Amino acid sequence: MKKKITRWVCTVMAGCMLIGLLAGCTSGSSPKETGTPDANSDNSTATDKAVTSITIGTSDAWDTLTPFRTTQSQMSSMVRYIYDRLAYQTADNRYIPQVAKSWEVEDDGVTWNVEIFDYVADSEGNHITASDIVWMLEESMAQGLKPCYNKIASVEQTGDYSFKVVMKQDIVNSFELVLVSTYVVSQKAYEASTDDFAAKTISTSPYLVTDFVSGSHITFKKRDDYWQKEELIDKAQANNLETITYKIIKEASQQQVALETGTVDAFENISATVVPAFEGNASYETVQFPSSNGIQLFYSGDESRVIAKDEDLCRAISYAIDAEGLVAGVYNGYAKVMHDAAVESVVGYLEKWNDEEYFPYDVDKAKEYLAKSNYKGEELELLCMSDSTSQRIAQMIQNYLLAVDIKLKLNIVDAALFSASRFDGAQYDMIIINAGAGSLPAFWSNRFDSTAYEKGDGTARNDEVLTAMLYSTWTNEGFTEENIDAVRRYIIDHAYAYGMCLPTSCSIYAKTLSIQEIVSLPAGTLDFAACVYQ
Amino acid sequence: MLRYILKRILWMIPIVLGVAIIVFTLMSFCPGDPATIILGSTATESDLTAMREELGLNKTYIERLGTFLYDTFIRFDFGESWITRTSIKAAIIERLPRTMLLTIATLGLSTLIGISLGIMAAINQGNWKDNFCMAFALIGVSVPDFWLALLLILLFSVKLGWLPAMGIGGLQYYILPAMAGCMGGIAALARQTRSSMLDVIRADYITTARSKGVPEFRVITRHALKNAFIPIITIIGTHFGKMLGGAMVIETIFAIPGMGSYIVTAVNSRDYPVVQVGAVFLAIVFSICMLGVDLIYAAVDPRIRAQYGKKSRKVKVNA
Repeated sequence: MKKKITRWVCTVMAGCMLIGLLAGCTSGSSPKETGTPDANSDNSTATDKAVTSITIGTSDAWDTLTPFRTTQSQMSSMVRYIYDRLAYQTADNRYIPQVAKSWEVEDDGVTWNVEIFDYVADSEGNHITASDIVWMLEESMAQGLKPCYNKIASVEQTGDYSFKVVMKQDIVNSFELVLVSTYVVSQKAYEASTDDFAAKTISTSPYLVTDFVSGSHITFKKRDDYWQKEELIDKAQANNLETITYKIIKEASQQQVALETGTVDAFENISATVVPAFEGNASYETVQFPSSNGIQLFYSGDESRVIAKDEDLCRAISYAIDAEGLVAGVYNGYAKVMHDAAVESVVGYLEKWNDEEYFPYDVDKAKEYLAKSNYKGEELELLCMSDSTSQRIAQMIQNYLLAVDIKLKLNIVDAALFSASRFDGAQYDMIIINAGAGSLPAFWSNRFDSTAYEKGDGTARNDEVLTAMLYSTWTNEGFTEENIDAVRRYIIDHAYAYGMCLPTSCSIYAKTLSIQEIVSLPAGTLDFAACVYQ
Repeated sequence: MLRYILKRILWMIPIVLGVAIIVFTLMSFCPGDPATIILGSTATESDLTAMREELGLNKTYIERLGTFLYDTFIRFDFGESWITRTSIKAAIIERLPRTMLLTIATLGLSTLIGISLGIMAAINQGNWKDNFCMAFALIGVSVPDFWLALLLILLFSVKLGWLPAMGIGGLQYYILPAMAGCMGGIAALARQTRSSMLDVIRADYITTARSKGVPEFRVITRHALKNAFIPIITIIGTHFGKMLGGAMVIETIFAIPGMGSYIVTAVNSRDYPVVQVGAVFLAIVFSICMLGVDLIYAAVDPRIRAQYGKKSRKVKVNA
């Protein structure tokens, strides 16, 4: 009887394994020759016709289309299809006019006069005037929508199509960040909306949302009545597609399947684990750009923590971590080593830093600094988020530090708890941050300005010397190469932070799209509407 | 019977209220500041204070609980998500049909296959068919649904191209998720059916039926299965309730925006109103499921029906 059972269990198991094998053996095979759309897709990607519509896979989930969403980055590729903004930031950090026709600063360095086009209208024909923009700015300030709005002192309408913005401080690029972050919406249309534009928007952009299912997909159709004249639209904002559909696919293996089955024609910011399957495949093109957010380790500045007063310990930790190892181990090689706490794409980053030595992996040096430090074998605490990437980075750091006899406890928390603790340096010795910013001043302001948060800077540090340096450097006058370099040197010398690696943003598209010229965005993704097709 | 239903419905009130209070309390005291999450990590202290004020987080626990209970149960106003600023009621109305369809499809498959396997195992106790069914059930319990989901996708979507691998649309989009999600249910139902059938299959009335010449198929379906059905119904009902709120893994893999992903995302982002309303809603649905299960007991088993009827008559007499 026992034998019988064993025999049958084995048979069933073998059957299951056979099915698994049948299914599994196809996974490594080359994907379909073309990005042929499935039966449910209405894409027209045939090679003999110009591409007019596209389905793009993304893991960037939009739950709502409201212009008052706080956490959604303005760098997301689909933003410009939903709302026009005052200005547009290109991948090479140019700020080009969109709704704002021109802007200029007065001699005081903080008062900006903006003129908007006088023929802006939304898809319902509502005429946009300066009062709509002023309303939007005031609402954004009141809601603390994005960090850039905290830097505004006041907004005032000066004419039908002009307004004045007074910034609190003269900080390089801070006003431009306001321009690229401010969505243009008709106040009348917004107030008449029954759902605050959560699902049904009235568009000022060249596209109209025709189908939106939160967490699933969003479809845009090109407007025939877009307000801007064709000849005034910059190449970086070209609208070469009639229909664009985004499908939200978060699971990595499904991202691969979506591309292979033609469910999507392209995938933006695809998971790094999937990229090797497409590299060298004749049917797909892989495009890689550095991401806008780096992975940094910040040391606590709260005086209750031993590490806050022990620069040698911080240096020892920085030297003990092999950033190349993190790039290979966590990102499959789809990342690069950083040379500063800030990412290289920010405005103000100096190219020469990439050639300078920046905490190279050196166990001997780490041990040397550790010996000089006051470290007595205490268990340090590292705070990080619970996503798989952060966890793997934290675990590798724990092992690197163990190699130099530094004990590290990992405090892995969910996003909500992380947000609540990140500025309180008393709760950790080190913290892994995934941060970027439009410019160096914005990055410094968020991370190193002692007056920025209740307890000090981003790690509760109160370094008045650094803060004074920042204040004199980030003005339009003081933003010189020499001053910028001095600030970076100061941060490195005091070992306040260690920029570890900069992930690569990979986008993959089927070659049947026949893209002649690609146009990228500051975040490292492609702007498929602006790309030029054969 | 009617009195029994009314009594059960009345019982649902304290149950749902209890769930609402427990969920509200847990969410209120779990760490993580919703204002920081909503405004982002770089918000100033004054912005955070203003947001806490707007969300009512500055009020006392009792005040907030009172407002929540009043809004939810008296005004039937489920409010808005703190994160997306969208109506919770609208989101549930939009997402529930997808989860419901997925649940019904999954449960349908589980029931059909699980009960069939259980019956086959019971009537062939000890021989190879029994072993096969139980081995299948064992594998069903052991196989993680996300792994099975990926295998099914590779076979039916990538290799054969028969079914869509993800997304929402027609009924075909729910076939693979249902197949992936039904294995656990098949295993539980097959084991329970076998066990219940074995209990009744040797009973005197089954022997009597056979000796009277009733065809074997009729003996199994009419006489044995009907009497073995009570625990099976319990399992089906429990699974139904569980799946309505717990199909998160399947929803994520197959990119189905349903109730599971809605609530789990809300928990992670401390979106209290969504979690609270979602939990209350699921408690109500679960209670209704259990009421349905009890009513099906009565429909299947005349002894239970008689019991309900007797109680009702007794009460009538006393009154």
